[in-house]
Amino acid sequence: MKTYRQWKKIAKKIAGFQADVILFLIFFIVLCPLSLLFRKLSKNNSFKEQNVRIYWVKRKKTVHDITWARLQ
Amino acid sequence: MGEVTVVYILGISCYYHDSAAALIKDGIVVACSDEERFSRIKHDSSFPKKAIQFCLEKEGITSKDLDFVVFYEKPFIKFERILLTSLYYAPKSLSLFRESMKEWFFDKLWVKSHIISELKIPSQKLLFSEHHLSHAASSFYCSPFKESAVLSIDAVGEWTTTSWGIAKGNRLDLKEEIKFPNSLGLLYSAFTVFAGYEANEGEYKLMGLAPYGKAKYKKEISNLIDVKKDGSFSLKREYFSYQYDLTGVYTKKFKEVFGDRNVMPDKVIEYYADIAASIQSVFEDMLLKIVDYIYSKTTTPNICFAGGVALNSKANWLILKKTKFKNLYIQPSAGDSGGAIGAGLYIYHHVLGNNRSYMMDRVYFGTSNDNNEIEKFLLTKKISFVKSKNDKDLIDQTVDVLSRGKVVGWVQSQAEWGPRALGHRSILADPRFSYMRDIVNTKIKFREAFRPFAPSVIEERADEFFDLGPYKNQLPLRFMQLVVPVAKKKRDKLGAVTHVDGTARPQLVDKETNPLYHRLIHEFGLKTGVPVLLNTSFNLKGEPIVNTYEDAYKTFIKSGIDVLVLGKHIIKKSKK
Repeated sequence: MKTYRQWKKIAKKIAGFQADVILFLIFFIVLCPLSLLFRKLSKNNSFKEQNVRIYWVKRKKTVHDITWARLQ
Repeated sequence: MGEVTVVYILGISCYYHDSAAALIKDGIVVACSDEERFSRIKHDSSFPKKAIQFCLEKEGITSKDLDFVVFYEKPFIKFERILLTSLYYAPKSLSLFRESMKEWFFDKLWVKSHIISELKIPSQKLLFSEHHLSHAASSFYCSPFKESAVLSIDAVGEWTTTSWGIAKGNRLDLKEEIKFPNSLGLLYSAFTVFAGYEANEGEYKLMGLAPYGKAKYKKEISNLIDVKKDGSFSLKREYFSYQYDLTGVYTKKFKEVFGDRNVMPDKVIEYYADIAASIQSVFEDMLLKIVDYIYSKTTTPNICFAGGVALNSKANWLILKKTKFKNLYIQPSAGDSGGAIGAGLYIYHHVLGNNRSYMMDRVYFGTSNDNNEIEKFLLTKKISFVKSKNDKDLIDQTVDVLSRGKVVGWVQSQAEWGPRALGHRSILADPRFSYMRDIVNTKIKFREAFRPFAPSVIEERADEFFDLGPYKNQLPLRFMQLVVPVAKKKRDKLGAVTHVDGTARPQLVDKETNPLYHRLIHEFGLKTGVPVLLNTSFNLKGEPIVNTYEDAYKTFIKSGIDVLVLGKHIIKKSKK
């Protein structure tokens, strides 16, 4: 049992390290080039609004019923 | 005769900070609590398992009896914001991406399955509100108003940081919003961090520091923001890094203007006090512009304010004093934990179309302490105590020790909902002499010496001691949500609770909702001529407010509190 607990601790550390490495690679290999591309081409408002001066935005009129409430 | 159907809704807020649960029965809040009260971890953000258990047990139901469970925000939309922000700011956003993805993939993305498995409910019963709708709903549906403007401001929800709308009857419609990264809450937090305090925790400290300084840097701070006449605003991104950096909130350019971060936040350093005064002033100007704009659009006399920013009690008072709104309501737990109540009430009223019949005019929804259990605990632990014969005896003995300059830990019936101790989990002292503030600070609270303590005053005599003008009946005064001027003639009689600028944040105590505490202050007034008590939350620095009698006893032993009153039982600290 003690050995298992120790192994779990070590495994957790390895998992954390692995996650860091994988995320690091995804970030530089996928996200950074995509970022450049998106900045030039994006029509997505949520994306573009990050760096433009925006003020009051009218909220979209949506019906707030149970179907809406089930959406995450 | 048909069976009467009861609708139970459980609201949940968690995974950011201050997780909480609230149980709503036919539109009435019957139980609610922050998770931190049970877990004893301040601002606990984990799934509120114990708070949920408390709510269900209090009502004597199980999760099977729940009609709906409502999470206070839409996690996928929030995830979209984090992903797009990481994408936009790459490569600067590496730390945001790495840490957020770990958090989201391990926990936050699985909110739905987590809640379903924890509560063992069918997935159709699980619903999701929106962050700012939950805030706005927590204020309006708990307010006494039939019709009101609503305003919600906090750091950030899904995308929204500021929103306003109109509410009437059981309908609440948000009209306009300002989106991330333009955030009044994050602007204030950036200066909180700059002054040496922790974001989401130190904002009170910055507010308390502000009166020691002069607003000398308003111009410099205003240069960081582009504010329009209608109150909408845009922050200049080159000064802030909170959008993409989890470890910092401002940039080198910010430092070039304001210098280095305060390394001695416990002390009043003139420069940082001036910064605090300046950001508070800029913040107030911006808030008032927003409120004026909302009035011009709604022209109702009532406004409901919500979100973490609504905890800025100094600015709240100005809404009443300086705008055309005549009435203000702020739900006692205006921050994220309040979202649990709002999410449930929004579904019950707006989505399901049920009428309103509820108003939150009191805050005592938490854990209750039974006198028999307290006695059993004291006997088991062999703790010597005096059991008072009745309420009169209890109050006489407590008033006697308070008027002799002793500090009393006061624990009665149900715990308060929200961040303020309002006479059920309080540390009490004589407010007349300024040295009492130092005693409470150095012996018990161990917090920054410059921070003020708040007074509790009986409602019928509040006018004598505080300049309340026509606002005496505003409910936020019962919840300690407004900083008001202390009457000039009385300032020398309230030395321990009058801040350096002649203000205080009083709790008006009424007979109906808080009879025992009211009687205690009244009797203290008869003995001393001042029907006011210094009231601060019953906790030590860095700990949540005590919940049970056991928590209270532990804190009593660890601190310099002289006398502990647990229900009917009075415990004096032995000289050993």
